[in-house]
Amino acid sequence: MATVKLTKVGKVYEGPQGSAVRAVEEVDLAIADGEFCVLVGPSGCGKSTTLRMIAGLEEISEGVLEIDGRKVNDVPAKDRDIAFVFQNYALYPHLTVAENIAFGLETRRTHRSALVAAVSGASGARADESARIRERVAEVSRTLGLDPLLARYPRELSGGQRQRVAVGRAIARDPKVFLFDEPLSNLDARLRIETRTELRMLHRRLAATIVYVTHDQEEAMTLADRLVVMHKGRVQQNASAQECYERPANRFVAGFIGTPPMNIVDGRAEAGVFTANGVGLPVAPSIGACPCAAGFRPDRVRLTAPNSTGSVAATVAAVERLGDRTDIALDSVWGRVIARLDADLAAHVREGDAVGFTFEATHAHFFEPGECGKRMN
Amino acid sequence: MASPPPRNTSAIGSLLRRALAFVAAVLVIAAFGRVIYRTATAGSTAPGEIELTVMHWSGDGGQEEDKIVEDALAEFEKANPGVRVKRLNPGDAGSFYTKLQTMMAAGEAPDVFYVGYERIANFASLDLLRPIDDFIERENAARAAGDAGALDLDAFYPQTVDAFRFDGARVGSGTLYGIPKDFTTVGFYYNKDLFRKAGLAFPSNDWTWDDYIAAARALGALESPDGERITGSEFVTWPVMVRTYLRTEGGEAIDDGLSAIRIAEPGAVAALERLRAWRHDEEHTLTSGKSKIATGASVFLGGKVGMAGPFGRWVVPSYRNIPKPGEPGGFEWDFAPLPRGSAAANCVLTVSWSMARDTPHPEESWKLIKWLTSAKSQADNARLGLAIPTMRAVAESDAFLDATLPPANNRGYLDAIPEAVVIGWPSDPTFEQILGSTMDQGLKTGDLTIAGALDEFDAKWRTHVEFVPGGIAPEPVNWTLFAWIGLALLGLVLAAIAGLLLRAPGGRNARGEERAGFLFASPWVIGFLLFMAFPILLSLVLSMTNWKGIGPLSGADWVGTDNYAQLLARDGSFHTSFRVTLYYALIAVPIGQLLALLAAVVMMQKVRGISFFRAAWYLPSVLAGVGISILWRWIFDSEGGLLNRVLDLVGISGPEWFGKDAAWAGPPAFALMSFWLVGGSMMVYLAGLQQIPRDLYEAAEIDGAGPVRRFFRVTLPMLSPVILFNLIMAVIGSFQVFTQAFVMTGGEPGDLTRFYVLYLFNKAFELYDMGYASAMAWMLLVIVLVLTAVILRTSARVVYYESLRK
Amino acid sequence: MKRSPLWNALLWFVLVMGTAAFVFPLWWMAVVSLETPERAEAAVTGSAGLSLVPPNPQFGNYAEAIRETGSTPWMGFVDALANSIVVTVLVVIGTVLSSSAVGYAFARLRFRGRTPVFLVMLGTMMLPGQVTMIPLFLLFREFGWIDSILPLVVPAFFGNAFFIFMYRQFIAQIPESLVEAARVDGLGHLAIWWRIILPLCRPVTAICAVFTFIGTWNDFLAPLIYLHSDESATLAVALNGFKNQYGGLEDVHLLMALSVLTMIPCIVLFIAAQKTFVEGLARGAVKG
Repeated sequence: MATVKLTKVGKVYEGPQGSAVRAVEEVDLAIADGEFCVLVGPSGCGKSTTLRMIAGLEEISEGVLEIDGRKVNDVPAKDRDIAFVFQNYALYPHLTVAENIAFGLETRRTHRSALVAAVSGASGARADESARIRERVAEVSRTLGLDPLLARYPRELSGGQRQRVAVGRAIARDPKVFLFDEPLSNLDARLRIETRTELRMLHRRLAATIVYVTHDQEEAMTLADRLVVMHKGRVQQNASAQECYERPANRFVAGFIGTPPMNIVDGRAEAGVFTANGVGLPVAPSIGACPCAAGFRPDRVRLTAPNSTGSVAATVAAVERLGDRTDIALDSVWGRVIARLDADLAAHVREGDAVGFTFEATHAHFFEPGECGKRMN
Repeated sequence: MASPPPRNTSAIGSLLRRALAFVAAVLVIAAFGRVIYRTATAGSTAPGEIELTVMHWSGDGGQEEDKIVEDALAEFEKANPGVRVKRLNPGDAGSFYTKLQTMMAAGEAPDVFYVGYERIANFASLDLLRPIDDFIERENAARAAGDAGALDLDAFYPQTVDAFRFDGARVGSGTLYGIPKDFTTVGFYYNKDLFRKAGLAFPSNDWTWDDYIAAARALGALESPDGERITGSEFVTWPVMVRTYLRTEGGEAIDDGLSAIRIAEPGAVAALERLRAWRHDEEHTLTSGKSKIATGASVFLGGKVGMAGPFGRWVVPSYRNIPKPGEPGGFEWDFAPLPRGSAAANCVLTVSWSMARDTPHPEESWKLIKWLTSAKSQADNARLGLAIPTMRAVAESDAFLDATLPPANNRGYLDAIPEAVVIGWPSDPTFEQILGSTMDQGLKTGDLTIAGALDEFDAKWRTHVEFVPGGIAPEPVNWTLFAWIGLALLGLVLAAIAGLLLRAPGGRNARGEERAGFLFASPWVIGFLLFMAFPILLSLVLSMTNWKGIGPLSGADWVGTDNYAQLLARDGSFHTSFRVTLYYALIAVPIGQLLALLAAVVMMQKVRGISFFRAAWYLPSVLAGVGISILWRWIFDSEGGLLNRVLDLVGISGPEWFGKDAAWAGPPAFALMSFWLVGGSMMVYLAGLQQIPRDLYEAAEIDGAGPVRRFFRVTLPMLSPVILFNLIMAVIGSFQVFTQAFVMTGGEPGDLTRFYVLYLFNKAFELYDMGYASAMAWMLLVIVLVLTAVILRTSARVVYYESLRK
Repeated sequence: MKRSPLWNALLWFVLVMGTAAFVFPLWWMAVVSLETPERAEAAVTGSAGLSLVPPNPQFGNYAEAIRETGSTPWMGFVDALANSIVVTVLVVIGTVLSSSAVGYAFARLRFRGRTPVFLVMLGTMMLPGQVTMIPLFLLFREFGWIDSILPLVVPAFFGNAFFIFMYRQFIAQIPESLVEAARVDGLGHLAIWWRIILPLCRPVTAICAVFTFIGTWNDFLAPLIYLHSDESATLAVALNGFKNQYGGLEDVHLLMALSVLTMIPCIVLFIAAQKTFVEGLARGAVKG
């Protein structure tokens, strides 16, 4: 197993007429041995490009990539000792499951050709190697429960089975680093959650270094030892999942991590009061007088009676009952605000009701203005 | 819909498949073994052993001639240890010359081969034959020294020897280029039984054309036992026979240089007009007006034609297979020399054994020629009846005059000798070709009047003779210049590639990928430069030369655009070939594409077993080639052909496709054949139809469109790019018709089925006009490009490109 | 959608009549090839009615036709058959290998100049072969290749524009990730082409191979120009030579027999590959 280190890594595509498109900029990232690192962000954020640069499928335009302390910028993919699991699994359709799993081992065998081996008198060594490959395939298929599928072709497998074969193919080679590119996005929701758990367990068992790309922040949070949130080609935050949730580094991370997303309202803080569109609520006085954005997660929103002081007047626009809790969309002068309440507390709320709301000031986040405004508190 | 096949049939299927694969593998291995073995052993003559290649034909002589030569060569090998003889026999005289000339063009002429007297001037002037006067002198000296085995030219009929002398301008005197192996005079073969039945006297050796036509009419009035009409006579209109016929009417005048042969003498016109009238105005007098595919000697065999000719002695071996009178299909027959008109005339047709200019073994070749023309060989040949020995003594011996086998009138051939002359031919074979095609049009198809045909001949021959590309003293081609231009172009290409390589190197991966890209694309790029770009440019240069195709390129002269001017302005045969091709294309392409589209629509129907029908309709396309062409040659036979018989069933009297109706029915016949091969286009349309999304049809149906409307509003627009593709390919293909025409008609009658590429092939590989043919090739390229551009331009508004932009 | 019975009847009529028109001439050819000389002659001259089955099949006709092919008894046919097989097999192998490789380059490998080269290649599809016929003849003569199979075989190894296009279109549809997976698994471009692309291209390869086989087997002009000696002739040339020697009415049974013989490999191949080939073509396995 190995460490992966990116220093100021960037990717520049040549556009038409010499223009340049910067897909990834100045990514610094140090992934420890055995760490499960998830790159997450909306589509087009550069996470896949970053992953593919680590894999060697994309050229690195700028910066340095090290695997296990060795600079590998110019090392071709096949010599980086990595395994890659593709979104569509990329199983070879003309090979059986067993052959797919063995493929990477076969291409790396020392005694390539039976004929050459026979001529050079190394047929014994070749046979040993073949036995080792068979053994390894058997081992992997046992681990993943693929035994009954070994003789089948990819087209005869279900989506989940294919996904497992793809993982099996990656494991078989026992690489230094596993790279996953949205491996679960082609599965249905239920299977996705199951497989997520399996992956987590597998990671623990293999103690492998994993770099994992997904656009699904929930998946990212459940899997990650380290969460790297990316947007517009840049790393927005690089921290544990918990920290990203509790102390988002900027407004983008705050809006991206967590479901339903954090409510963020543009306004002004002054003397312990946050005011937006002429309506203010008290907050912690640590913020100086300046324009800023206040963020508060839906579960920190409290409903009050309409027109009660210290609250913002609102109308209930939609009620989504999720069983143990209820999400309520509120329209107010602060715009659309989502509140998440325990189901029993929200039992009487109806769409069209006039209410008021407030939020727990101690759990509010403040950001500088702008899309990626920095955290202020 | 169709239920899955039961298990056991699929097991049998897989077993069959495996057996088939096994057989195929065995065949392939055996084939490679055979070819490798042959290549390894070929040319491995033992030390001191040499190999001579001998080429001959066996046309009307059939297998007998093949056997004669084979045996003579075997004996020669036995008598001359150390000499091995390889024998080639491409079939009839026509294919013999095609092959000989391609071999000569390739610089691989056989050592010893037949040359007909009519080609001597041509071959000698092209410097392809080795003069043999030095050998004759040696033989004369040897004879003077008492060698009885020495060859004595005085023992030969003088006309036959003189036929192979050429002085640089005309045949008859000068350098000797071959020893005549045999010869013949010509006349008519007649069916004695039919003559008796018609109450006619047998022809005498000095009968006249009046006697002839009277007999033909009387015979034409007869009926055969099975109730069919007898035809009076077959009269072939080969150029040499026409010219001999004219001589009997004193109608042909030739000037000294052979530059003009004035056939349009009043006597000639009258004689030809008579012949034309016999053919076309009378119904059962002459057969050749009704073009049976088997015109020529074989029509006589069936016993339903009273006379056949003018033929030489060569038909005798096959006529001797006619059963004896009394046996089924048998009858008695004999020979009568050519009838007299205002004059007595006959021709000497003779073939020599000659040797190639560049033979590496002239001594052995001469030995072989002597062997093949010796008294003994001639006597052997004579016994098989094939021809008249060229040695007077052998001709007068029992070997030839033997009366135990028909024809009884062997004397008839010899009696004609005094009045028989060698018909002189210009050294340019185009003369014979033009005469043949115009006479065909005048006499055979009748689409020209005699006067018209003669004018046509005159005009064509004159344009041909007067066409001296490059003028009187053309400059040699400046090959150095073109070599530099070529190198400069190559340099440009290389520079462009180098520029690409030098500019902005990408990353390591990208460079690796690029290197791989160049590597993988290189086969096509190299192939393109070597097998396309270079040849196209070379062909452009060649098209402006008078290169003959024989000998090195350095012998070619620069003629500028003369070839093109001649093609466009004057070459009537070219105009005909273009017209024929265009006529064919105008029928074959639109109707063919329509049929293919309709067939594809039919194939889209969900019917049980539709895949069987698909396969059946497609099957002929898989087989297209020589075999299919042979099959269709018989299908189009005007008398018994399958097609005309089917037409008869529905009450249509089919045309004589490749006979007198060829002017209008010839190209459509080929088009008809091409309709049989629409399977390929059908499949492309079918693929296109299958890719049209079903929901479009469903949407159209919901919108209330009926099947017809759906076809025009959904199918056609969605299919239009496929139609365009097929259309362009079909147009290009229609200008490339070759195999069918070559095999089925050879361009005849006249030039009426001489398709563009066939004419190109004739010019390049048979008439030694590679420069001219290159100009034709370039014109073809221009025509195809223009047609494609026109189609693309006019279709732009109609074709729905959305589905192309995938 | 239900078809009306009338429409159905019409459809069947068209199907059956069409099949008769397409298949009957071939059947007739086979019948004539099995007749006695007299009956064959009568059949083609129309003096006897059509018989759909020869009453007394003369299989000896085939032996005789084989014996009389070329100028050496038996071996003439054997050589022609061997030549046709060798030429065809080599041309098929060459075309498949080169066209798929070039198609792979155009579909998957980024290199400068790819688009212009590809467009030029598409343009060459419209080039009539006759334009290069004479210079190529000259070129091969300079190489000393006349009367060998090389002029027929070697160009096949440089790709065929039509099939390159077919391969390119097909390879472009193969997911990029398969190629990337192979790269991660340690394959170079050559190995990717050989071990991943070629196996996946089987539908195109089948069509390319069958088309090439049929085209080469039936090709006449090129062998006519390049092959001169009897031993190096292909079946098509040998058949034409046979026609020139046995073109007469009295030998029509032999001519038909040899014609049928030369077609058998194509028929067998067609039937064997029918499923993959015809259905593949019809389904548009190759999108154009």
